[in-house]
Amino acid sequence: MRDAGPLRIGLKYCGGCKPDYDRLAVVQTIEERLRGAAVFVRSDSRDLDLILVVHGCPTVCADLSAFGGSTIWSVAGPGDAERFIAHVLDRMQGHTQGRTCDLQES
Amino acid sequence: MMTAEQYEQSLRLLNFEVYMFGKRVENVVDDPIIRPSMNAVAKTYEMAQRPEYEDIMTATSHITGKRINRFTHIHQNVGDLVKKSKMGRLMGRATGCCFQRCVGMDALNALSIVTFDIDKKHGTQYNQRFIKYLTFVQENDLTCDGAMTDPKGNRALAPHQQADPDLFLHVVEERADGVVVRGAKAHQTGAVNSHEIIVMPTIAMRAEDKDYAISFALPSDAKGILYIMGRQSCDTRKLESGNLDRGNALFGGHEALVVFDDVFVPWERIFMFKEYEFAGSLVENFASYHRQSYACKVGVGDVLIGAAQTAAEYNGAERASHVKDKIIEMNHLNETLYCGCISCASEGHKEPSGTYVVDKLLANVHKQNVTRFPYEIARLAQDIAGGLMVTMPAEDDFTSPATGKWLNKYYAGNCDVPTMNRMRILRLIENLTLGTAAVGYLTESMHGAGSPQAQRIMISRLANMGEKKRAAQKLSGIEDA
Repeated sequence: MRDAGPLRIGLKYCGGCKPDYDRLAVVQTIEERLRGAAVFVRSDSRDLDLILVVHGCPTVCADLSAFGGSTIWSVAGPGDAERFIAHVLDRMQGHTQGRTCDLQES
Repeated sequence: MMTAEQYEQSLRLLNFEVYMFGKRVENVVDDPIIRPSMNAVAKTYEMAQRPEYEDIMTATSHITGKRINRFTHIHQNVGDLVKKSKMGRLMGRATGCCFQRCVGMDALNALSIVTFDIDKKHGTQYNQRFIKYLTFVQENDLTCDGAMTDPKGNRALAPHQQADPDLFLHVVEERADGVVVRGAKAHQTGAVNSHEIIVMPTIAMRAEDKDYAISFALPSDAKGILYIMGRQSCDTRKLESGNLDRGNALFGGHEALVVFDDVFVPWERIFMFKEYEFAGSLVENFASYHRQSYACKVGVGDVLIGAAQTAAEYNGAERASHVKDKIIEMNHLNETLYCGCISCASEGHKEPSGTYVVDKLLANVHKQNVTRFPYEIARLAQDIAGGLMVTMPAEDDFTSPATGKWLNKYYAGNCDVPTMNRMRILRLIENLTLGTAAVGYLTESMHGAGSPQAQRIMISRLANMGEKKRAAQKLSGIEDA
């Protein structure tokens, strides 16, 4: 069980060859909505709670070979982003109430 | 990896001999006609530094294990080939033009295969030399020009039969420390934005042409190399004030005739020397990679389709059924192109050298489509844009107190959109379909990486007609099929 500080989330993007949406704008929304609950850093940073992989389309082709053993959450559109935000907020709320923080992608 | 700023600075250190409009260009990097093409190459450096693109724009060197710009990478698996196609689309969409760096990547990959094959037959050391050179390119994140196309003179004659032997680049002197070459390479895209120039023979050769069967790499400002810039339609608009009339004010491409006026090449930079029987293999491998590289036109197509849709909306015509259908057709053609470059990558295979190469039949089919579809996409874009695209007055007329009020009044379309925005999108369509960018989007699509007939010859050679006949004969009941 991790301490009560904000989550350290590593951001990993696909290459963005033909994204179906503005990936940077969605990430900005995620960061704003999770301000205080999470900090976002490069995916090659240390001591990460999870990797958030931002795919531009359902092909979800980002190279994840460097993240073996890490907890990975993928989003491939604004809808996924909303689910991710809700999940993190829910889990963080549970954590502050004494429950174990489970960040596995559902 | 270099940043875009470091790349620009590195070009300033080169001592190019460049001519344009009959005069020597003293400051190549800041020349207003050349500068947009430098910006396009710089974009390949900038995007490799950004997390949201690095998954495509970078790779891991199979030599050093370091992170490198993908434009210096040797394909190690099918995934690398697919990412190359995706990178082409990404960069084409980001710049709306030819970003010039794929040709060097394709030359490096072709040489990684052919130097290995030559060594296997002749016991030479070309591959070892090449790997040393490749390491230098990767470590310094260099842009390389891949120079294949000779002027070729009389097309009915082999290199050694030409009235002027220099019409194909060839060896004129052998020394203990290297050779001297003479000749030229035509249509060299991005030549004066490149740190290095990689020379390859332009056609398959026989024993009589062995002096022409040479491949080497030199610094692009080596003594004796000079560049004569090609013109582009509307190029001098870049000399005018304002930026509306340029269409794409940020990015562009360029081509040059590169003259080798008795240029010395040291042995350690030579990757093929008189092994004429491998000239055809080098051409074929390079051409196949480069035909795949025309994934970039899909990205430029994205820009043109986006511009056409925007123009339709600014005109208030976006709901018209025929306009919708034209946009559908443009997307159909553009995505069909994408199918080709992705499929030839996905069906790639490993060569004995370890390098992965595209499916050559599919690469040629893809490029054959590229010689056609951009023209139809451009035609539809002009159809949607309307005639104002080519009758619109100059930017200065829009800002003039005497004429601006009339132009803004009478060239308004959708009232919610400033007239100047409508003009901007029309100028971009003009730029892509008949201005400076049409060089890259249209005529380069036709002739770059080989003219249409070159692909048809390859399709004829690579299509397995025996198996097709056998399948037909078996189904029709012909015995012994």
